[in-house]
Amino acid sequence: MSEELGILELIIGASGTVQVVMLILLLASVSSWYLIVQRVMLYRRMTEELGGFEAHFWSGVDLAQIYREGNEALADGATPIGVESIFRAGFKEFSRLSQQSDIEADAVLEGARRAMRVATLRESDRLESNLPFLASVGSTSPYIGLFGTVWGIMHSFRGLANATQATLATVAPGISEALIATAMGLFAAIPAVLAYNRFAARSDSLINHYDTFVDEFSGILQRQTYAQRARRNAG
Amino acid sequence: MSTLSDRVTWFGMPVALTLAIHLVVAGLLMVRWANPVTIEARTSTPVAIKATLVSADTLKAQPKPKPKPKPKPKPKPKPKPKPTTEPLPVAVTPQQKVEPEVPLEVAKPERTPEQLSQETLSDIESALASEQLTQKGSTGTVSDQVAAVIKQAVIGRWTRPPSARNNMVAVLEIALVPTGDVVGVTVLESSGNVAFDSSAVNAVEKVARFSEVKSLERAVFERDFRRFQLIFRPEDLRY
Repeated sequence: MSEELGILELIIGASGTVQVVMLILLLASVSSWYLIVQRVMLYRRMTEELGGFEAHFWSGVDLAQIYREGNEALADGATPIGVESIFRAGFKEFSRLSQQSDIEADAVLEGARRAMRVATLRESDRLESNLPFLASVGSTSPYIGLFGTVWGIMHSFRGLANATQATLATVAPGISEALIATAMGLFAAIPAVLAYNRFAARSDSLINHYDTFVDEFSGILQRQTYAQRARRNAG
Repeated sequence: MSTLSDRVTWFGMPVALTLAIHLVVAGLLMVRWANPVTIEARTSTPVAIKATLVSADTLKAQPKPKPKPKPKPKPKPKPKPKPTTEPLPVAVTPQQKVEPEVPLEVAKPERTPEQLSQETLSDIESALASEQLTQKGSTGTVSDQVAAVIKQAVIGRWTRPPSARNNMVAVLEIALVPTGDVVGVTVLESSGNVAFDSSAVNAVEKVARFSEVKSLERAVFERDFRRFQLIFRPEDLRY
């Protein structure tokens, strides 16, 4: 028996259960990393979008103009995301309701707010989707790895019971191979936990921004509604 | 933004990055486990010559009932115990703690003069060899020095099994801890002769501790002596 034990030999030589555990952990690690990279890209894009749209929104452009630009982008095949989709939902509802003169001003505003709330919820769903998976990987994969390790150590000690001469060399490879499972569990768990915390914080802050935007935008709509009503009453 | 490029960005990129991360980690793990230092224990087999002589002689010349097992432990002592080599012990590496063994002394007087002279000759040879060895060691790096000492220590405790032949080579892997204690000896490449292999392993196990290793710097130890290979190749057997 050679003492030149590479990780690969240890993994290949591991017992079936431990190998299954390792496979599960590898899949968990791969999928959590996939999600991490994807989420990072998504949050970056959302933040850029938020900054860009807010700058555009507060630059004094006519709201209908922004809405029309959004229509053009929609025609090109792009789907509105983030704060723009909230704006579009609110503005669409507002203009539809305010065209009907028999609806109260408060009801128009209430309708627009509801539409924006729905859009905000949809956006926060999008931001928070898959985060539970990261949380699960982060919290369970150390246990899965530990299970593999305990199993592997049990296995190698059972082998020791049958051996007449108990040396360290009899159990050492088994324990070493079993510990790989724990290492893999931690390898999967640590990035997942870090990413989960980071992403949760980021999506919270984005959703806060959206809520703020909804309030500010309702303020603008309210002003507009009452100005419209006053004009209509006067005229 | 078309849906295709969208899909590439939102699916392909994460997949590529994920694979890259896992492959890099796996690669690092694979690469870092390897390349132990090799020490070749071939030059210093004069001890083995003596072993051959003693056992062969005692077989015929001595009336002892059990000549074989007796002489075997004898060769262990280094050139030192020889009465003809008074000045030699100085030349031999001082680490050899196996001081003169009584049985050897007893056995010697019974030899014929020519055998004695022959022995003296081989003693001188071995002394020369070990002197050269120490000289080489002192001019080389600390690692070489310690390697030479380890080699000497192992060979000094080697007991030649009757079936050993000149062309036998066994590669051992030895694991040490920083105190110099041997924590593992395994046969990496067998010579094909189980007795020979286990005699080599026994020799290392008998040394049990290479105390010179303790004085090494930690980094040097980790690099060269945490795990190293010992090529066991007695070439000077006259059998």
